[in-house]
Amino acid sequence: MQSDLIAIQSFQAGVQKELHFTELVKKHQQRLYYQIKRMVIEHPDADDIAQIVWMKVWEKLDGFKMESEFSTWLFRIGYNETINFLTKKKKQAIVHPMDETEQSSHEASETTGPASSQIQIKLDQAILQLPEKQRFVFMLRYFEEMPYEKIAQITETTIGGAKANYHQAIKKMQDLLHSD
Amino acid sequence: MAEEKEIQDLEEEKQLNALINKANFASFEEQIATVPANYFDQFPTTVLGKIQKRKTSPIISLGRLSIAAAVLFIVAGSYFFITKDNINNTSIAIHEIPTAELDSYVSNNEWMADAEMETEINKLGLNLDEETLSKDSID
Repeated sequence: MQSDLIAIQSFQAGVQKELHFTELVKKHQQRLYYQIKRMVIEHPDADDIAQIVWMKVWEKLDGFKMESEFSTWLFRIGYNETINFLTKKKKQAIVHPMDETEQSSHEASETTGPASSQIQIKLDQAILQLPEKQRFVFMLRYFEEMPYEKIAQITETTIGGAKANYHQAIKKMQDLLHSD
Repeated sequence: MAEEKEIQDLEEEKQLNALINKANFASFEEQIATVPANYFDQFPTTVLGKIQKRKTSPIISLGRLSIAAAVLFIVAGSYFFITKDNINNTSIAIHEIPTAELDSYVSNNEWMADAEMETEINKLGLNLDEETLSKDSID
């Protein structure tokens, strides 16, 4: 947190911008990448989005007022870019419905290894069936163990809204698991 | 009251989490954690490289280009209509000038009258060269 502040202030002062930016990237890249990848599954897609996010960080960091934590701000950009990507992908899938079928079967097979149990396969498929926002909230809370306050800031909702999204996601997954 | 609600929420969350065991996401997380070799080591350099590239060659987005085209179209269109109106106004203005005023203007500008006469002669195809004119004058 403190090191973020120093790096951001130095960047904003124009002192060795690349160096301080690299410092921020090195510190936060993995958590951001994994969160994006949990949403889009494929590495090339996650890599593209992560690059776009960091390029936006470079562009907007001078205007960052430090009213929230840097990681919250970073994940918010990540959330917006991921949702934009998934929306575009959905539109493309409507235009090319065959691709969507191929894609979902590809995703399902990619996420499950040969040793996966039946429940693991079902859970992997259940995750992919959640609406994007619920899925994003679920991933942040379940895997990153992020506080609801931060999740609310990232997804631009209230704390109650974030909690509701998480609970709905879990209930939906339960329903999907018990549906067969 | 708020604390009770918080405790209730946490209890509910524990129950929900217990139903979906983290161990069951092992294969999912394994898949997510798989990245190409040295990916995170090279990532900062890749991003900085793209930033530098963007700095040296500013990309004009399609959106900006279409806005510029629309503005240009509006300006060109407006110019065309304004110019067209002015031409019409000028022709109306000439028609509105009284003949007497035009005659006096022509007589005051003799060279203009000569030019008009010459044009009329050419139109009629009359051969009024110097020789003919002098013969006529003799006759």
